[in-house]
Amino acid sequence: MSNEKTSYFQHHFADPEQQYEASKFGMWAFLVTEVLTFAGLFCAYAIFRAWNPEMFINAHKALDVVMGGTNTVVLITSSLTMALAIRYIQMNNNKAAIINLLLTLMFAGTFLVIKYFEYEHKFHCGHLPGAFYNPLISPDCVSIEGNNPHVFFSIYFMMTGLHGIHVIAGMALISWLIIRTTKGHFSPAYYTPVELVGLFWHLVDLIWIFLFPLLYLIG
Amino acid sequence: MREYLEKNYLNQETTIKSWLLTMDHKRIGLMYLFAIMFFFAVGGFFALLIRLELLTPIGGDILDANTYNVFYTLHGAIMVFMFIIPSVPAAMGNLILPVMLGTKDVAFPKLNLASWYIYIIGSCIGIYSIVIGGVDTGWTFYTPYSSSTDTAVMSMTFAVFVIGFSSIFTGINFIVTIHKMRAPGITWFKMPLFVWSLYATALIQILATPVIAVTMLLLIMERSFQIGIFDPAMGGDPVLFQHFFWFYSHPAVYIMILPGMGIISELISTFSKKRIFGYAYIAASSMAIALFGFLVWGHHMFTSESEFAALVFSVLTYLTAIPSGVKIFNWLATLYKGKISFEAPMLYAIIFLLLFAIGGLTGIFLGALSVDIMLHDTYFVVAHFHYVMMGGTVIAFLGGIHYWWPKIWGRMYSEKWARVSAVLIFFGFNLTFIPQFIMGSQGMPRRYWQYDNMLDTDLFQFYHTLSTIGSWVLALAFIIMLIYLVHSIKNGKVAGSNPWGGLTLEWQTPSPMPAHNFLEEPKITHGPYAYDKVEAERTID
Amino acid sequence: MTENKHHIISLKVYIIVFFTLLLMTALTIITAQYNFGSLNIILALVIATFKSSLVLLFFMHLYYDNKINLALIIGSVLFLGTFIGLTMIDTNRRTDLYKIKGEVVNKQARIYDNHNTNQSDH
Repeated sequence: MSNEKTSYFQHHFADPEQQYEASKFGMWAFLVTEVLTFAGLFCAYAIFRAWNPEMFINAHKALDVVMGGTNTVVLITSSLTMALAIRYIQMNNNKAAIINLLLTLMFAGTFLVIKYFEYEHKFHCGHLPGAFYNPLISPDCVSIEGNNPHVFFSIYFMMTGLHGIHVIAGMALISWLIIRTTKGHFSPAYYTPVELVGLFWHLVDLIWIFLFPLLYLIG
Repeated sequence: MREYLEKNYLNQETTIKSWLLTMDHKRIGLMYLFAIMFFFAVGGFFALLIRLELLTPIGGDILDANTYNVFYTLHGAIMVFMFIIPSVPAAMGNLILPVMLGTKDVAFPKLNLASWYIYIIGSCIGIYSIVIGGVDTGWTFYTPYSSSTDTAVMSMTFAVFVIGFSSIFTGINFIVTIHKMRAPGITWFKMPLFVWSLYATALIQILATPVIAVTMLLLIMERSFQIGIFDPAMGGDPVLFQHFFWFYSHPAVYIMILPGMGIISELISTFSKKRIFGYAYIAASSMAIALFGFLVWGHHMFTSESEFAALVFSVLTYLTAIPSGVKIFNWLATLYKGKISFEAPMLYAIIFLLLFAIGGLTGIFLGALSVDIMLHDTYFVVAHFHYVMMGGTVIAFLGGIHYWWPKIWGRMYSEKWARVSAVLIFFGFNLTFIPQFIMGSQGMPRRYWQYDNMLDTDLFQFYHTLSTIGSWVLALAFIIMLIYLVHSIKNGKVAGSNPWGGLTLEWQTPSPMPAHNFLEEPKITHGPYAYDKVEAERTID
Repeated sequence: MTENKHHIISLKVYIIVFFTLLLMTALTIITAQYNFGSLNIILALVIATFKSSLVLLFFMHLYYDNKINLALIIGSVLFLGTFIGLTMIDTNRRTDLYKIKGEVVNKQARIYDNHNTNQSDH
């Protein structure tokens, strides 16, 4: 009956359930494209690592496992709070949802802050990609043996950089969700955007779950 | 009924805003159609100039060497990215897919409009790169030249990066539409084969296009920050670029051909008034081509990759030919004992069968490693891919244009001039490209601005001249086509809902289509090819 | 208001998954400190795969969803594997070139004189 379908319903769909399923499916199709985007970079990683196994082992020591590990925990926790936010909207608890969204945003921000410190250290030590690689001899900078160490950093910056851009995009989307939730746009009957942003956010977490061991825990 | 629907999707609202902010898939399809036809003309213009230059073996008739390089690069890049990849899926698919499925629109109409805008923005960036001097690397952008040349590589690769998103979003839209929005009664195996082909294409689009995006990104990074990933002096690998590039660009050719093959299935069945032979096999072969297409990209790199890889890719390439063969035989079997009529769309279908067969068979030569050493980077390759892309996809696209034209505009074009144009295209195309097979096999290299001082210069000049004359015949044919098509929009005979007697759903709605596709809920009483069970009334004799 | 028939995951499941993820993270860091040779990377990837499965199945609901969504993501990973795998059959075999020794195709060919069979190693 049409008086049960509200403003969120798009009329080319047969019913809100079809709209929900279609939207989710569409988001999964988009996540497929994200996987294949990072695939190119994982491929470059695999190839250059196969060609320069010792250099990679040496170079990864320039990365801080504590910071990387903390970031992993931060992202996993943000995934939890994101999932909880969806759960609370499903249970019609807007306030708890907003709190969890804010927590997710906070954890995302924390990730970026830690990342910033990592990048800053790299710049300080001259551990930069390609032509910019200019290692500083200093007690707080790991010196890297092996040929073409800048290759490692090209890959490191490309992968973490692209991942970081996705974190920023995720933060923008989560902020948008917070605004809309505060305005009461979502309910157990309609929370599709929250679910879709959640899926995107979990993907960001998934990529890091692979980036972390491959970059920080080699050898 | 033979009637022109007065209130239709074209005139429902007539403001510019109603077009630029439309969410109607048919309007979006039309906007794509105009854009791609424009880019076809631009790309074709570059081709004509290249062919003019090649009339004499000495370089510099009308283009200097660098300009020549820029022109063949732009011809390729514009034709691939701005014309052929969006052509059938974005233009024809948008216009027809939802109607074939009995639904009101695609799953995500706003995303659809966004796709179009992204395509336009990307194309404008491409135009910008042309205006500031263009690119001279070849449309394949091979490193290390592309990472060091000071032509407009950055803006052109960025344009490709942006246009790729248009393709991705169209792919997502179609996948979800086909999965979730079929009208009740249209099961997977009751869908028209055009829909199957768009589905397979959409899968390729979402899987392959992201890789070209990241490739272009890496090239941009290489040029701006010298990250060294493709530079041997910095421990990188130029062949790695080729792997990344072709991982997309090979499946891209299946994005180009699969929807075209889908159109051919529709045309052959409708114009033989016969059930398509081997429906399930044709559908399955579309999916098989989509899958196998991802496994063969190394056949573009036989001369640059290691021998073992070349061997593996060669074997996989031969396997990939099989599903295409399945289709050809199924189409031929459909024609057999059919009630064939030779209107323009059918002429294009027949032309397709011949030209695509030649294109496909010549691919077999190229797939053999020892033969490819001789043929790689010669005109043989150029002729091969023009036979499959132009003789295949473009011909199928033209067949689709002529088939669905009356549905889109409600009026018929002049059948006489359509036949003239089709015949001219057939002759012009063969005249252009058969000499290229011959001179390619004799060693005429591609992308060469001058060919003097070769053993066979005079012979090559003969073939080049034939080829250039062919290009003029083609140009003439397309000009004629433009004229009669445009003329028919206001002056053509009223077509009615079903000028061809087709059985797919789009023929059950009036022409031009109503704003929401159907005036009443479509009833699915028969399959799309049930010519043995149902007689559909033609609204035009 | 429309009845919400969507499955809501219980808090318990979320918490268990969360702590498992943390545990796995600790495990991967600890095992990386020991040298198992080439097994290290395999172990790291296995743990990462297990972690991502948990995120996919529970945080992202795939366990409870229409299975087509799961098919899509598994498909994409297979393609990722194909991309990396087939590329590496080239990049790993680059040194094959050095192992190829020239061989005479036709010993009777006119370009050779009677005593010299053209054996060149570059």
